[in-house]
Amino acid sequence: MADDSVETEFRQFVAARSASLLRTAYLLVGDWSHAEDVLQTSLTKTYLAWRRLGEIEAVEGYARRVLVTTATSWWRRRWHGERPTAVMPERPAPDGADEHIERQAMWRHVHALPARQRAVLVLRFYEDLTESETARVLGVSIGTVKSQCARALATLRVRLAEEGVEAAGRSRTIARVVERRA
Amino acid sequence: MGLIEEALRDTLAAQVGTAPVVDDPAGRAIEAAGRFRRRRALAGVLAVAASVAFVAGGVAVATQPSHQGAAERRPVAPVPPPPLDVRTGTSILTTDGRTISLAQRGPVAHALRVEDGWLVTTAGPPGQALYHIDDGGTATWLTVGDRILVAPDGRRVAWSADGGVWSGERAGQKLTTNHHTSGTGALEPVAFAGGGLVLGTRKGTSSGYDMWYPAAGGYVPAPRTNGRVAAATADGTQVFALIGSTYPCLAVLDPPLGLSMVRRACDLSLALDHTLVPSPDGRWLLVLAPDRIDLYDLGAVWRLQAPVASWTVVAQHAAWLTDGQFVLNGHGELLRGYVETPGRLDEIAVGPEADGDVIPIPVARP
Repeated sequence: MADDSVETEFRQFVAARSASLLRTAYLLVGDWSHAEDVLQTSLTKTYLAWRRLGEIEAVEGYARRVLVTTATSWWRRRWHGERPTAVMPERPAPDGADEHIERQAMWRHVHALPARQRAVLVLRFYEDLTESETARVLGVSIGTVKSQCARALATLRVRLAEEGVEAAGRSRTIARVVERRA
Repeated sequence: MGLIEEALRDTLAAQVGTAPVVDDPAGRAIEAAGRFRRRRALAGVLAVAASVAFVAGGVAVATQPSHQGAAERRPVAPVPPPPLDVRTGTSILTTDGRTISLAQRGPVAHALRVEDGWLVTTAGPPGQALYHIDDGGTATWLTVGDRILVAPDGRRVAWSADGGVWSGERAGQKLTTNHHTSGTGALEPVAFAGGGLVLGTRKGTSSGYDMWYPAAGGYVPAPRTNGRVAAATADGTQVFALIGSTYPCLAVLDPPLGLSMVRRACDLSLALDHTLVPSPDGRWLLVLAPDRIDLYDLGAVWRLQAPVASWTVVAQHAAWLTDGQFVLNGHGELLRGYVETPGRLDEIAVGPEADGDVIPIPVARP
């Protein structure tokens, strides 16, 4: 394969997939600047490996695996495990702002999870991968995906409840239960 | 689907709603890849130039044609010796810049730096052979066997032959056989563990492990394990095993208790063929997988159930320089890593004498 055609194919791949990969990287590292670095690192590795990857399906899978591995390593490098979260501010939210505040609470707690647990959540609930697809990307068993996912969701439930935020029956998002803390 | 899962979907989708536009990510990746390739090529050129200069007159200069066509002498940085001895296809490259040829000994399966040279295990069709190579490159044959195991201290040696196992002690260029054992099946030495030896046992289709204490004379039978004893710390107090078949757990086994399992971590990305390399102090564990290297904190992995760092590096060999630094033969090159700054992975230039993959040689720790 000539260098020109490799470059053309690679540019087409990046044009089609980089925005999606960047969003996933952001959810994994929690910062757009770091997410861009992770994306660039992953794309560089993918380009270097392009010739031996061959099929576009292999490229997609490789790029995603490299992205997740790079992102979780970056994240670990910075935080080395779980990160304590700040306490939710005790002030009533104006109407319409609840949803935003609740999402911010959820996001803070997702961001504080161990890297692998967060990666499982992002792949399962953002990328909509199946358990077996998630297992393949992370290189773990389906049982591990299940246990990491269950552990992560349990942690989120506990931490949101501690903050007075819990899943509410009639809301598609989460409702803040101010009374619980009063 | 539960409410927490729905809320999580909403949160993740909302969180990425305002993604920034990245300027030409493909072009930047292609440029970065080009820089990477040029750096590798430059390292090779510098290595060759330095070698030519050394051969020519022992001075670190090389000649390059100038734009006028005349040759001018420019200083070229010599490739510094590696921070630890390395072996290549047929030679050892030493930290003081020498090359020790092993061409007449056959393919090297294992090497260990000892106080007065190297212990080199070669692998040939009849089996393995162990040599002591002194600092001048003179080889002294020590023993042969189906499988030869040298303890991390460079002093104790065990080898299997004819279904039995021998153990002995090496002092300089002399190996003294001390003990022998045999069983009803085939035995082979797997790891030194304290004053004992982990033996692999095989009888028919059944295989497993036993502890053998040569000085005490007897076996401590171990329970059958569905897995592989993969490594032991330098002091032999901790034995690591991969327990399970498809997705094995990392386990610590207790040698005095017949290799019973002390603790395990099962949510890790491990396979039975992964190589485990514990740090000299037993604090860290490198796991070499076919597509990446993981670093585990052995004080925390049982709680974290995850590595503290991973690299997408392909390496088949690793050796610890210190308790906090290690060397890999990643992508066919020598790379130095640091446990305290896991993002850093330095490339170590190796001279042109390297005639194959460059493999770090661990140093004996008495």
